[in-house]
Amino acid sequence: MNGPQSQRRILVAVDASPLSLAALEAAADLARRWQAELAALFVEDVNLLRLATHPGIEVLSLLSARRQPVDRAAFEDILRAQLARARRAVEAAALSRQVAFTFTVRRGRVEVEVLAAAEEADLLIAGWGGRGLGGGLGPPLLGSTARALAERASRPLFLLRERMGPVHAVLVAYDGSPASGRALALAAEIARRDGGAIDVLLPARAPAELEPAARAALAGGGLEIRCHALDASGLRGAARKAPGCVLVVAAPVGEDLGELPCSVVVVR
Amino acid sequence: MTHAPLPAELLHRRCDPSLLPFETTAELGDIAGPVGQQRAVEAVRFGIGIRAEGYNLFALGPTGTGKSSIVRHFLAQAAERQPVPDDWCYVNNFAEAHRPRALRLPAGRAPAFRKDMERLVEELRIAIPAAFEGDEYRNRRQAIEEGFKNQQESSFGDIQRRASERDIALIRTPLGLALAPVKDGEVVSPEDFKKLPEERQGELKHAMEELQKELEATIKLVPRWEREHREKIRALDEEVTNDAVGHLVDELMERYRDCPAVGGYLEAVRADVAENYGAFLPQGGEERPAMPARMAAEPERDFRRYRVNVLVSNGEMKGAPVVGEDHPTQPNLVGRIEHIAQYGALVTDFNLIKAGCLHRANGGYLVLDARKLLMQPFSWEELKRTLQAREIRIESPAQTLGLLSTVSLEPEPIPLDVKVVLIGDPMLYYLLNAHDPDFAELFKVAADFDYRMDRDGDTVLDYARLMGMVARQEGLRPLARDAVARMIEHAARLAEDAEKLTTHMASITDLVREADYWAAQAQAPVIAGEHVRRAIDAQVYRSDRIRQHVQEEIARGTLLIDTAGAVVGQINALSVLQIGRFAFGRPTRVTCRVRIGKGEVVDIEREVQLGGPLHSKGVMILSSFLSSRFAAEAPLSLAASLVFEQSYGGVDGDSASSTELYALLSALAEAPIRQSLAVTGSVNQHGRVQAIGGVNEKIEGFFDVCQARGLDGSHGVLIPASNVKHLMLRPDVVAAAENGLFKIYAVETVDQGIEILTGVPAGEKDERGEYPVGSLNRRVAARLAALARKARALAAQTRTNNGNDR
Repeated sequence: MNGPQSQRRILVAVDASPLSLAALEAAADLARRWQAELAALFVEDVNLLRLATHPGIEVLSLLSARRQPVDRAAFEDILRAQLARARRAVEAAALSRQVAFTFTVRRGRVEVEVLAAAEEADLLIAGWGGRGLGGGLGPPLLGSTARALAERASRPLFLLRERMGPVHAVLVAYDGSPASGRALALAAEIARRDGGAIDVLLPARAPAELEPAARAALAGGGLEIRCHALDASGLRGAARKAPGCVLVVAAPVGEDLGELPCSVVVVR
Repeated sequence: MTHAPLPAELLHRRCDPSLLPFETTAELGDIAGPVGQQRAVEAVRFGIGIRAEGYNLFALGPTGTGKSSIVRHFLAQAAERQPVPDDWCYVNNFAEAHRPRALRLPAGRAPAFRKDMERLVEELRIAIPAAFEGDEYRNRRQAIEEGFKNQQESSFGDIQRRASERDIALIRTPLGLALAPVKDGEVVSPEDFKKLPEERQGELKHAMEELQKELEATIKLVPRWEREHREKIRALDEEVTNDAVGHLVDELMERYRDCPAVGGYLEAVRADVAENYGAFLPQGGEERPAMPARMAAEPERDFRRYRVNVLVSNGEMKGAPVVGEDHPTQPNLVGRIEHIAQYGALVTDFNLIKAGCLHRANGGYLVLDARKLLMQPFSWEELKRTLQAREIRIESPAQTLGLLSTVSLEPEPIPLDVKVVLIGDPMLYYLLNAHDPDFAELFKVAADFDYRMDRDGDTVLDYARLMGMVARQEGLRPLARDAVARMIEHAARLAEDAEKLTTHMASITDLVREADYWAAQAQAPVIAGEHVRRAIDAQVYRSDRIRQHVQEEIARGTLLIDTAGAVVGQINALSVLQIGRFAFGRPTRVTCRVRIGKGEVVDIEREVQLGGPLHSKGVMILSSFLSSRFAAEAPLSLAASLVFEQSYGGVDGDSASSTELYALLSALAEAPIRQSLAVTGSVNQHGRVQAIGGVNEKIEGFFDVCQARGLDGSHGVLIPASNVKHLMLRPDVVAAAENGLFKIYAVETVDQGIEILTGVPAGEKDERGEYPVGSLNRRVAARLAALARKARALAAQTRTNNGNDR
């Protein structure tokens, strides 16, 4: 990450889905706290547009389970509406927090375009999943795009699983590796300053010096530091005990990302 | 024919202070019960004691006779010995919200139950969210959700995997799912697709068709999975709520095991909470659409349903309640249902049910003023209906009449066991009895309060005790024995009877207060007789203005009343004027003129419709007396006219009928009547003089006129002998009588009266049917016979004249 003196940049991928809008809010909040620039990216999915050029193509409605023909014009209308909505949301989010912002539209494959844009950002924020299959019931499924981003992003990636409440717990996994050290640093920046707390998750059979190291790395941030050893339930179990938390973890994540019950920040 | 005036001791029956066994009333103890009113007290005791349907009580009597205080005195005594009635509250009816349930609890337990329910809700607000935040719930819920997720993932994931094996992608579009051929993660464009070998194209198309069908089948399953998922979550939620609620409700049930109704209610609460657990969870998370007022009000509203509206609590009570309602409107009787405005609409619930006095009196006694009750619209009918049904049903008049069309309630009726005591004047009682068929059924006991009581040693002593008690209670001076004696005499005067005492205790106690005022003015340590006299004089003086004017006008000769000399056909009658509660006598001149005629006695008052029916009756009786005595066998050939001189208002009552008869006899006999006398008394067809009312005022009225002109021993009044027992005259009148300056004659017959008035003997019929020579009756008979002869002669002459004409 760049030093605090130059302005940092937070990239958020918006597609006007509810979770992406929640991601936008979280990004705008962080941008204000960090005095960073908010860079919003809207990708027009080329696969979608190309799909519509096939003659006689049909889609299956998730509501009615019925086939219906579509054409390119219909898709373009919808994309245009989504774009307008996303633009309005970005403008509103940035204005209400008085942060500088950019709004970029690219056409291409979503994960490719997002990853490319992320190269110039300090933090990438995206929704956990797009428009889920299950009609929004139950926990959201980790989307294919989000999964691809988590695998390939070179920058820290914040996958938002639900709307962030004003008070949230920040969990961070620390195993002494350089990447987990960076995770520690980012977690400290995400945690609230005023009387916030941070839970450091240490490996089950961690060396004794790991905890002091973690405490030393976090010292001076004005945070309450609590250290826990991970048990057999792993990160998933730890996150479950703190509903609505954000888990900061270094890549590669040892567990299936899709099984984690909370928002996740993957740090490389 | 000597007629002696009444001895002075008969004019005023004194109460001898020396016979009173005390110095002042300070020596006397309080009086336990009421003074007099044995009949009413017996009825009140019976009415209060008997607990059968319809034995409600009506206390009737003139105002001021102590109905209310006697009734309350005995009610308080009876109520003390009776059990404290149960408490009542209204609670929500979870099955039918518009029919709140009534709960009966032992006395004093309803407020505790209300508090217990409040606490239960508070605890539920903690226990239910705690249960939902607990690990157990979270784990079980996650297990269900993951099962659902896995089901989805495995179905769609399977299709996705098989599709990608065949170079086909499952793409989520804004309109739904679509399948398309891909190469390196990108959808193949139609141009590129056409470039593929035809065989390959067919293969892809076939695969897509196949997958599409599978996909369709899977999507169709999704709603069912969702439903199953939701049901599982709901079942889990209810189970968790039940676990959280169970022991709290059980605890309450244990506490109220002796009230089965409460148990049933708590069961309903348990079921309702399990169904509506959402209300107990924090409302955070997703934001609701705007309407901030609603958001603030709603959680409050949700918990109103578990409140307990304590209608009546008798916890503080000792014995049965005795309730009085000063303003017996229909809602004040049976209670009311209030409404509150919410978003422009009127809404209500069981918490807004308010008790009426019937609720508060349930199990005890309700005292109402009959007149006030009848003056309130709907109240009387409502009270009867409630007493007949023996249950209190709250229904507003607007609801009954269909005027109110907003949300309303039908609260469960509450069983009623109350004894109603109505207090009113006799007229109301008799009117209700005559016109309301339900009245006799519902008010079977009448406590009839008398306006007077016997005057004897016991009652006099009771009176003294009562006055002493009033003085003690109100911090007044005690009454000396001569003051008590004076009060007793005044009480007899108020009863208009020397042998009775008034039961109008209000005037007696008022007089005690006023006498105390005069005693204070005189700085006397006790109330003495003179203070009582002063108080009575002051009372009279305060209301005396009109009497004073009348006396003045008589003295100045504006109102013509002679008190000396003798005049034919002119006599002083006595009338009573009543102004408010003050009555006084006024002498009135009655004159009579006679001439030949057809036997009619013309009552001028009646001719001009100033005479009441009783007055006319008196005149007709006297003319009947005249004709039967003097002209039984010949036509009565006179025309007489009688008039009350200088009377410009109505005249009623027959107390002047003897007076008129004297004037008529005087006119017929041409015997002058002594103007120094005045007369009162009614007369019957046989010439007997009968009792009249207001005898004291009448005598005093004439006395005042004579005294103003100077008493010389000739003045006096004729009263019916049967009125002697009513005499309680003023001390100055009695003193004048003692000195022979003013005479009161008791007469039994008209003959006695006319002798006193004219000084001419009346004369009795001898065996031949003739009156003695020189007697008044003979003169009357002769005059009538002369008139009859003249009439016959005139008639014969008329016939002759008519015959000559022909």
